[in-house]
This record gives sequence, C-alpha cells and structure tokens, in this order.
Amino acid sequence: MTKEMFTLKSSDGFLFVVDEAVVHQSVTLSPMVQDCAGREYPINNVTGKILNLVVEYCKNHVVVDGGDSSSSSSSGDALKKWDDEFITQMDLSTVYDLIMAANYLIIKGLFDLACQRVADEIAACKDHEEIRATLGIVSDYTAEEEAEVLKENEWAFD
Amino acid sequence: MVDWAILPKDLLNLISKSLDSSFDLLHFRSVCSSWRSSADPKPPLPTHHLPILPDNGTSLFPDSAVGFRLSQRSILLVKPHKPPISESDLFGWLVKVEEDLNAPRKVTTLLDPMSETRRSLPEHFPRSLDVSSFKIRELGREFKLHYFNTVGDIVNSLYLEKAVVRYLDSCSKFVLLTIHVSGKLAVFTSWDRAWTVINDMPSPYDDVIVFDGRFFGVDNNGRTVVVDFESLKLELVASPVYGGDKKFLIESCGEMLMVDMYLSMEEVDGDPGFGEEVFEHHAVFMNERTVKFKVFKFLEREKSWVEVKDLGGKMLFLGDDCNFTASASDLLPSCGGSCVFFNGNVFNEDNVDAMQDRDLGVFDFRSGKIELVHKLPEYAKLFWPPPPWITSHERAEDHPGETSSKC
Repeated sequence: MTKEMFTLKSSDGFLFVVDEAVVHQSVTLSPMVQDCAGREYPINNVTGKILNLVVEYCKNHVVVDGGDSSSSSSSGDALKKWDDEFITQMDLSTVYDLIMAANYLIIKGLFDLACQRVADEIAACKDHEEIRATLGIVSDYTAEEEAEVLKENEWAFD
Repeated sequence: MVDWAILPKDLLNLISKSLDSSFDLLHFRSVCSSWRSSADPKPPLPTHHLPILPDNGTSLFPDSAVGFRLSQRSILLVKPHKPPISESDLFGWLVKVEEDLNAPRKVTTLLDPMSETRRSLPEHFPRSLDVSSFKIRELGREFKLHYFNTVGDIVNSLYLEKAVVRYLDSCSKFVLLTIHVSGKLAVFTSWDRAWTVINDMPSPYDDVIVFDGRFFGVDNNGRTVVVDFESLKLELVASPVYGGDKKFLIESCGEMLMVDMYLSMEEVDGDPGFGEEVFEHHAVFMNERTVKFKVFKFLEREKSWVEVKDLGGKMLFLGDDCNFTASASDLLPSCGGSCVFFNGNVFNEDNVDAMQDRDLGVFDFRSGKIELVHKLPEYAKLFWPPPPWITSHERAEDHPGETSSKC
C-alpha cells in the first residue's frame, strides 16, 4: 500500500514531504489529509529551521506510536531518551520557537516536552534574578508590584 | 533574539504549571510583570474550622472545646545557594513553617519539624527573611487539628492523633482522615461537614497517610487498608507483620515504607527515689524505651510488607504530626544516611534513673544504636539553632526598593 505523502511549506519557503502518520500528529494539520494530498500546504508562522525539528519529532513518534499497543517498556524508554536528547541539545531560543510552533500546530507531546525543558531551566536557576539573566528578561515592575513581590518572597516573623 | 517576556500568557501559564516546587513558582512570579500575571500564585494553605469529633462518651477533650481548627504547615529543607566555605557548615536546615494569612500582615511562624514546639528566634535573628536567598524544598505537609473554644482561642490541645488531608478540586473541598480516640479511623468531608467513624477495627490504628493519591491506614499489627472516602469502606492492602509496638507510614522516593518501632518494658535498676508504690505504679511509663526499628517496603501486588535491610542514603523522620524523608546527600553529606529520627524515650546513660521526658532520638540503621539527638551535634545542628548561613544574608528590609537578593 503506497502511503499518501503531503508537502508542508515553511514561512521561508522550505518544503518538507511527510506521510499521513506525521500529519495526523498535528491536530491543526490533521484535517488537511482530506484535501491536500499532492499540493503544498503553507505553514505561515513556522520557519524552515523549526519545521524541520517538528517533522523530526513527529517522524520519531510515528515509529513507536504507530506500533502495536503492547509496545515493550524498553522501546518506551528508548523514545523517552530520544526526546530528552532532542530537547536538551537545543538552545533556548529554538525551544521558544518550538513552543510557539507546537502550540499553533497543536502537537501535544512536543508542546509538553518543550514546556518542561523551560520549566527545568527555570527550576535550575537559584532565584528570579538568575532566571532573568538566563532568558534575557528585564524587570519592569511598578513600585507597587515590586512591593508585592518583596512581600511574597518574605518570611515575616512576629 | 527571542523575547520571553512576551510569550503569550496562556503558554506562560502552562510552563508555570510544569514547575514542581512552589518555590520555583515563587521565582517565576518574581521575574517580570507579564510572567507574574500569567502564573497563579501557590494557593494559600487555608485554615478550616471543623465540628468536634464525636467521642465515645468519655470526655477526653476539654469541656470548653467547641470545634477543631485545622491548620497546615510545610516542612522545609533550607540550604544556601552557594555551598559554604567551611565543610562543617555544609548541611541543610530542617524547619516547619506556618503562615498566618488572617493577620493583617502575613506572619510566618517557625516550628520544630518533629513536634508542636514553636521556635523562639535568637536575639539577633532578623525579623524577616528573603526566601529567595535560599534553596528551599518542601519535604512534607503537616495537618494539625487543634481544639478551640467559644471565644475562638486554641485550647491546649489534647488531640494527639495524626491527620491527613486530600484536596479535591479546590482548596475548600477536602477530605480528612484521622484516628479516633477509640483507635478507629474517622473521616471528615468538608462539603457536608460530617464526621464518620469507621467501625472496622480488628486492632487500633497507629498511623494514616496519603500516598499515591489514596488514603492508607495501618494498625498496630501492620495490617494496612485503603480508605475509600465515598463508600467509607476499607480495603485490605497488606497483611499484618506483628513485630513491634508502634507502626508509622512514610513516603520515600516514590515508595511507601512502614517503620515499626519496638519498645521495651524493662524494669529500671537502682533507686529511682520514689516511694515503693509510686515506683510500681509508674514502672511501665518510666521504662517504655525505644529500643529498635524495622523498616518495611510496601508491595502492592503481593499485598504485603517486605522488610528492608538497608535504607541506603535515606534519613527518615517520624515527627509527632508528620513523617518525612530526606536523602543524606541533600541534607547532611557527611552522614551516611540510613537512620531514623523519632520522638520517644531514649536510654540516657547520664540520667539512668530519672523519669524520662520524650526526647528526640536517632536510630542508626546500620549499627542498630540509638542515641539522643541533643548529644550528637552533627544531627542536632540540622534542627536548631538556624545555621550561620541563614543570617549571613542581607535582610529583605535592607533593600526596600529592590526585588533582587544577594548572596
């Protein structure tokens, strides 16, 4: 049985040819299976660099998810290991873009994976100062908000 | 360059929900304005008023008590962000914290993690601490029932049994499991404000715990049940082990353990200084010493407890109202771990004949030895006074205009 192939086009013109099993992992793209076989489907807010990563994730998740339902725990472990390596080697700017892409394309597994990477990065920071430094965020509190933040961070004894 | 401050709020919210620790959430909320408004604050631990538990007719609580106040505390492991220069300062501080949100200004009280004792702050201790200057982890949550009277004051509590709580949905809907004075299990449901005492009790219950989202109770023989709060039925999940005199349930690294405390009832040698009859009458209480512990691991499928021969690097703490675990590598690297801290009567060679007060003791699992914690500075320093690096930080009030903290 020949698989149906679909062509995804990134915002900057890169083309990715993928099969149905990959497309179905995106809730946003899933309906296109009906209409778009053979035609290019533009994804206007995801660049080629990011779409490449999305496709890579989905391809890897077809192999196991498409397998039998009694897949052994070792293949589940192998997939988890792949996920960990996949997300950890990325720099945070890429993770940011991946979060936005996975959110738009509604790919839950990828979205959760990327969010958890950010959460882990935050947890590794000793305090909010370090989070700001790591992510390049500037504090923009009003005086009132500052006072609130201070209070929230404080143990005040009797 | 991406701008994390402008990540859509719903996405920021989801990221904030992936944070395990409430202290990481606190940091998240302190980063900048958009992050702050995207993350819901850790829900405050509410204090609830409960109607009084029906007793057996014997008035075991003060006449003036009209109800219970349920308060909640966190047991925390506090460490400095940067390891201290001196190795002997390399340890964590164990403290129990209660926050009173009803006061006009939020007031934090520090308590002994192992008992109800409130800490009096040393004289030069700062009046406030910037929590973000430390690495803090919650090791456990304690629920405490106090009797209160018609004026709303807490009556000196005679209620000594462990209580555990499961929140359903929101902070106002909860179920509480405790041990009734009769030794039976009692359940309180917040929506109908009703207590139910469950009659199934081959042997009095010793401890209760929430583990894996479920209520467990263990009786004096180690027989363990799961409590279904909806049907109020008990399901046997582990057969008795018999053995020692008091059983404790504790969670450690995702597993449920049971600690079995052995008490000895030996007679004391020598002259206690009491009159003969008084001595005989008090003999049992004077000499109920804690002599050893065994630890068991819960095997759900086998419906049994299996003895654990080595605790590895774990340190178990059996507090009056909460049991919690820490790993030695985290809390006290110089110690090998594998010990159990408990409140009980400990043989004190300096004062053999005296009537013992309950004291904090530690059982070394490997050597089988028991010692008073106050005689072991290496362990005593975990509890009180606060370690030197707590106060070597600048106080929050010194920098009123900043939210930053310096080490």
